Amino acid sequence: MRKANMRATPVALVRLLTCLLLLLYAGRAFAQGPVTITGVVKDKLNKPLEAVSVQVLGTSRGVATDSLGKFSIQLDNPKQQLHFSRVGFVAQTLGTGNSFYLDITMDAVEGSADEVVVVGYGQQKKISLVGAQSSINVEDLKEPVANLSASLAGRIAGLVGVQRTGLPGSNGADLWIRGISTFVGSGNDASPLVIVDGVQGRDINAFDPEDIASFTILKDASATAVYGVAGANGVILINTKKGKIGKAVLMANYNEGLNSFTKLPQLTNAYQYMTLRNEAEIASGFQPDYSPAYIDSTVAGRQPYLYPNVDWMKALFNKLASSRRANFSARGGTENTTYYVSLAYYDETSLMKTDGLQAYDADSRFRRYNFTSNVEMNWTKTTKFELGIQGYISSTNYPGVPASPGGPSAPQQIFADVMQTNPVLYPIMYPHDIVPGVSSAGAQPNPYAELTQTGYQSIFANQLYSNARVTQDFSPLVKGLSAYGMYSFDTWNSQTNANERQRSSYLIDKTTPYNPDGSPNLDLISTGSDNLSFTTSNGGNRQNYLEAAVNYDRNLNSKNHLTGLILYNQRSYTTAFPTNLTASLPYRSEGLAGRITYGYNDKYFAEFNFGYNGSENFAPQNQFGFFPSIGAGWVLSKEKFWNGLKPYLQFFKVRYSNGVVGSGGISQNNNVRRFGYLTLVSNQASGYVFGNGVNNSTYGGIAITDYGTDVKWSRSHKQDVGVELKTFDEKLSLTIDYFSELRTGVFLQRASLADYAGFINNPWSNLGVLSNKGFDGTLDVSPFSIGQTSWTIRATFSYNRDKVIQNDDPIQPYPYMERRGVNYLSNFGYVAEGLFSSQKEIDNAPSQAALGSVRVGDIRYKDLNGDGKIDANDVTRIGNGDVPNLVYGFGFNVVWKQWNFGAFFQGVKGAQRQLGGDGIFPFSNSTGAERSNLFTEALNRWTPGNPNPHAFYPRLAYGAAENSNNDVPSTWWEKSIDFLRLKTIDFGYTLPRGTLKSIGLRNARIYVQGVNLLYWSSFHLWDPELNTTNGTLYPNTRNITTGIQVNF
Amino acid sequence: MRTSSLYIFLAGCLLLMGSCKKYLQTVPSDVLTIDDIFTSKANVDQYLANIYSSLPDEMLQRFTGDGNSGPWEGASDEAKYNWDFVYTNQMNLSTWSNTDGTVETFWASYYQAIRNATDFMNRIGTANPNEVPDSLKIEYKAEARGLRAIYYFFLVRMYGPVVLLGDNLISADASTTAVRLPRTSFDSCIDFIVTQLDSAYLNLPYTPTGNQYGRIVRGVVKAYKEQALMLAASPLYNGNTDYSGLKNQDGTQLVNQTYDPNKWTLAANAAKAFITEFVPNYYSLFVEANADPTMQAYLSCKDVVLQDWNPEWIFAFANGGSFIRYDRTPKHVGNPSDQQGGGAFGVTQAMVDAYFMANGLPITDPNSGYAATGFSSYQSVADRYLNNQYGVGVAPHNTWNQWVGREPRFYVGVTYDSSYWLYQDNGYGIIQTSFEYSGNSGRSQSTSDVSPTGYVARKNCAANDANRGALLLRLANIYLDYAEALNESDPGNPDILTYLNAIRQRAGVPQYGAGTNPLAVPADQNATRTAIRNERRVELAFENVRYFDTRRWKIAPQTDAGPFYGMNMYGDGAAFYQKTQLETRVFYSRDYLFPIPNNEILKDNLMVQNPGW
Repeated sequence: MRKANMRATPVALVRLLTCLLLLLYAGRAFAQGPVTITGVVKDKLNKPLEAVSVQVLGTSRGVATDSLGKFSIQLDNPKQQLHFSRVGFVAQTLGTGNSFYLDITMDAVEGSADEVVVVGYGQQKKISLVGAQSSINVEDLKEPVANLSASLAGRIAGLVGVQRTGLPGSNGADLWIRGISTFVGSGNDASPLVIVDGVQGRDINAFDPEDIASFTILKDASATAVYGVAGANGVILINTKKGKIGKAVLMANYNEGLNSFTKLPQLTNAYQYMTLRNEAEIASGFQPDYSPAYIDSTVAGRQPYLYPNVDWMKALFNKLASSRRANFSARGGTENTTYYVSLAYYDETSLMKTDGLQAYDADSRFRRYNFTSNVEMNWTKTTKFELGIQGYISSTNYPGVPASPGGPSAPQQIFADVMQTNPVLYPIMYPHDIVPGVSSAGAQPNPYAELTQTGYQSIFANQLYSNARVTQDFSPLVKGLSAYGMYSFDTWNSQTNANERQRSSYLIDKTTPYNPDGSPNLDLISTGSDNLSFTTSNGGNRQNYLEAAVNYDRNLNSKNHLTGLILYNQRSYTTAFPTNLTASLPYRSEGLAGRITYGYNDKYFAEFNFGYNGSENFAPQNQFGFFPSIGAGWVLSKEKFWNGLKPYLQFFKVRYSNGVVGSGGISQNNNVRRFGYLTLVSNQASGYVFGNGVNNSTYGGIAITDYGTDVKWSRSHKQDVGVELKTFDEKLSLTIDYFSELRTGVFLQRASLADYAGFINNPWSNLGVLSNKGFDGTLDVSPFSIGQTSWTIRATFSYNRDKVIQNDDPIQPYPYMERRGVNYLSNFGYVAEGLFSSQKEIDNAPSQAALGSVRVGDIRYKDLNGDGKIDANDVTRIGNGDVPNLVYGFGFNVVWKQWNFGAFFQGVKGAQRQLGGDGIFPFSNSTGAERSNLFTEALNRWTPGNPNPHAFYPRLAYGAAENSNNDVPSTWWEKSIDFLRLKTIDFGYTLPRGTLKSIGLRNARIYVQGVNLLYWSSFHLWDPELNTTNGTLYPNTRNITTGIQVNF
Repeated sequence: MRTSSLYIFLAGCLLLMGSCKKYLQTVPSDVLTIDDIFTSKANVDQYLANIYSSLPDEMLQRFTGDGNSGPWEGASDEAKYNWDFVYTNQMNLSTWSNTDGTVETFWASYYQAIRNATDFMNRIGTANPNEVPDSLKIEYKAEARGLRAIYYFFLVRMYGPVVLLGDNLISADASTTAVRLPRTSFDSCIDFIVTQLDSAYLNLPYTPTGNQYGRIVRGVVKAYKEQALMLAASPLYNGNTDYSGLKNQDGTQLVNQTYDPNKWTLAANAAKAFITEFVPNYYSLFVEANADPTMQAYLSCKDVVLQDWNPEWIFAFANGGSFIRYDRTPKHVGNPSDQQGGGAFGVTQAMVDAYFMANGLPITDPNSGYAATGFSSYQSVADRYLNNQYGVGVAPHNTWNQWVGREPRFYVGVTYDSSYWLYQDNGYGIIQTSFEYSGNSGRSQSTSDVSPTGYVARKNCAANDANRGALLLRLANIYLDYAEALNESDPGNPDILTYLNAIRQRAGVPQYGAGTNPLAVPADQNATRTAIRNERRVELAFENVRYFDTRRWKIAPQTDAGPFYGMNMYGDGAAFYQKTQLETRVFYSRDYLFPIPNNEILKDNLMVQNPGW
């Protein structure tokens, strides 16, 4: 027998499986009258649960499980149901089907002492945690958004998130755990490692929120050390829903919503634009472009082709767009097989207009179809097999909108186009569908024509995630020993088909505006084509992941609890359409991870974790890095001396962790140079063509672009102190963590080597040092009642400050210019001291000649070094940058009878943005002052007649040279983008059970949800969350949805 | 059975571990390595081609620094770009700064080329002899040496004394402190350039094999040797006591403080040696023969820059891209889009006024016949060219008197109001340029794609923007250099007028004391100097020479500061023809030299900054 098994082949396994299935089937066939059911009840950690009450439903017959979790009970007939219950656990009722043996897993109630949480490569009792981690109640995530990431900010302590645009199909949020603690500008990735169902490197936005079972972030060294080189930026652990023993539960959810912009930039109207432009031109010594007669004609609007007057925002965008979401899932199983399958559909259209005249579809629309299939099988009593397959198909359609004339499509460009197109430049369209334009080179393209006349692109993408896992329990052999192996294959593919065109443009003749027949006399400006031209491009990647682990988990006696884990994994990620050989090579890492935990009487806890990983990216002697961590926890409230405090604090735990995590390994998200130890010779360098144009000899170019140096892992030393407490009869729980991180050896390109060394790209080195410190915390109030209402409340915050300690920059001439000692994303600029009020003041002030010509009404800057002139040596840190220091969120949910209402607020603090660019700097586009639109804020400006020192704008001027003094980065343009947002509300009605049973439904709920309904901010130009300095991104959207969810 | 599954599991693990070692060995073993460069001739050619690619493509000047193109035209008194983004606008107001990226671009990219050239020279000897014969190794090494010296010359011309690295390569893992080097004195830089060029000369051919125009040949290194010696002899560097304070920390004087007249002799000798050795066998003044002498002068002067590698070209960036066509084609709204341009490269009134009259006299001469006001019916040589070329039948038309009766080079150089466009599209109406406010190229059409001055340069504007040679040095420079150096070192030498007149003869203007309708010979050394400088300004207009001339002559405070004028772009009709001030340029003494990029000063504490920066 033993020999036979040693030669186990797939065929043998299949046979074994068939036998087992036959046996089970045989069991079914014989079950008729009274039956005896035996079984075992375990908790989520696979530990037997003692003293679970097992009750035959509808009778008084009941037993309790023994110390091994076993029970035996008689049923009168197989149709009777069993009810399992125990304090601290979620009760279950289920039919036995035709089984005689039941293997039941019970979930602990959230917040109870037995609650089990997900940790890196496993699960643990929450009370035993010594590392810093937070998780979220996944129900909270069910907002009508396509991307999970967009709904997370403020909900989890330690997670910093901002949503940068609302464009359907690309409205995911940027996420960081405990802020940014690396040199992102040098191409280092600051994003956390995302792990879904145990597989690294998956996309958080690829899943439908309905399919998520648990969401956890790991923050400190103790929690992340097992991920070694991949863990330094923190880890997001997501598990999708699994099957459950019992009759199939079918769920259907459908909602439909309306979207509108949270805020659209407000631009000046034609009259305002023309008067302000005239004012700017006169102030700059030019003659005004618009005569009073011209302005009158424009405002009167009688000759719209000769005197155009256009509100571009109105011309381009609809007021409302729609979104739609549908989910269907089925969940159930028997004791041997459980399943969760689901289908989801998401559909969102944008607010961008189409003209409805074209034969093609230039609608912007994002559609995604998700599928999930998670199946678990018990092959033997000790062998479990899990197969998970998830993925999506998505289809995105965008209008052509080229990034530059004739270039690739970029829908966001439409906003940049508007910022260059003033309201009186040309009409929306000329009669007979003719496109207006002003430049033969394609500058200042007509935004409406760009949106509606340039064709379309459609993007098809599909994602497949698969993972298979076999777990073998060796407990009968060695108590507490188990092992598993997992293999996963993920692949993503996309194809972009573009069918685009740039049409000819015309402009009305200025001297003879009309033809004899009264039609506008149009001059050809640029020659284009009415024919669409087709291009296609592909994207893709694939990943193989393999993991095997041995687990040991045993209560040595009633008080001592020991667990151990040793794990091997390897990961290989390949880009499907590389552009060169180096890019075609897979990104690879492999390593070992280990953990030993020890718990005494649920009072004292200690852990040792390590990761030992290698990456292909380094020279053989530097490939592997060792990253250990230790942690300890102490539940003080279990001590005798605490008894006096018990009435006030029912639970009190402190924990501490200290360890090292790495980064710089698999780096497909980084722009850090690959194989830094190799000297790179490019054969794509600039070459040369000798000859006189007739007889040419063409040579490509070879250049040594990068010299190799001895690079290795960067290391992040992390410490964390956490306090967890419960008070008010355990109703209120609070977790607060203080953390401190020092990251050393961060990759960066050497900045202190002089240019005359002649390197094309300076060599890379592990020279960066950065620290990061902060707090985060969670406040939870478990359900309490006021009258007939039941309330839950939750709040979180995350605060951090990072600091650059070494960046290899040369020493700056003045300490205030140093980028060392301040946060990495700091904004630098001049310090504005107000506006010059007189020529005399200018004459007596330090010279600003280096910045350009200075006039009264200009910004006056501070002479930081006191040398009597304002120049680059007077630049200092003026702001924190666009990633906030503090992210917070709070919300509540109240239930009254069949009604519920919930609201969630989210906010950030400590984020600033330096404004600049077209529209923000009036008449300052350096390619032509007329290529600049105006925000209505321009009305609030300094003028000689109204010398308001606190105006939004200094005096207006025409031309980049005339404005150069005011357009440099300075505190004048540094604006706080802090905000508080009513992120979601949820209002619902659950139909009474009685009415539903008759129509075969278990329960049903009708709801209205709102997302991004309101925000409060001192920043008024556009939605403060957008990643733009002049409002040229598709704004975030407000969304109101109604829907129904039904369980069968 | 259970024990066995454990064994299987452990065996599986061991198997995995066994394969681990190789798992991470995904080194790109088949990519090009540093040693592969010299294993084949194809690779060697490409490595050398890359060193050539750092030569400046001066036709990209709209974006200063693109392709190492300089600010030389827009920042001289010849022209002004209307676009604010062009770096020359900052230079003209002297608001440029040592922290500007543009200042660093040239410094960094020439030093990159220098590093590659040195590496090439150090290792070409090891090249695979089966592919690269020794004779070719020697020739290629000389090319790299010549290029390296020329790159140093470009650096010295901009930044003054620079860091000389010789044959050393700074190592990639060198510590920051180990690479700190001081600047080398100007004379030592010139010595290095001259000796390197002389050394390269020995192993170079006279003409490029296989029509590979653009390769370094004997004429190129000798011409740049002459250019380097001219620079060293010029007032800016020859005993310029304004630079008495420019010293290294150890006291080394970076610019010599005593005037040495012999430097002019060295320069004159180098020019003479060049002419003796290479003219007319390898280079000669370009002439496009025509029965009509004015037409011949017009065509010759127009095409000398347009016709790739004509016999006058000594060196050029071969087959470069160009933005010139859009910059120099007026907006021409309503005309075929090929003939619509940006027209933002305006000629200054000062440059317009510098052109001679057809009778060879400057407009300031009372006998020149120049009229500053009024209109005449006039047909220029350019109009006659259009009639010949396109058969468009341009008749004499009303022309402002300032533009009437000027020398052929004026009509080669300048597009003025009501002139007919250099290129016409058959089948469309005739294209006439109007810069007046409401005209097809006037300010009412655009405030950015418009001439700032009412004139646009038309010299070197090709029929299309296809790749072509960007001229760097032609024989006329050498002739005028020779005349200048000789006038300084040996006034009265007859060669002075011989070579000055050669230029004038080709341009179709009367010569000094020779030919038909001769003009009076300049009275003395000073008058001769003025004549030579005026000739240079016109002959080499829009060829990136004037910027350096005004600096090495130390006359920039007179030429590059103060009011600059053009036509009135806000006027129609008579209102247009008003001399109007555009701007007041500022020139500080610091502006003679580019600043050393501020970062280099911060990185290298032995590096001293140029005066005033």
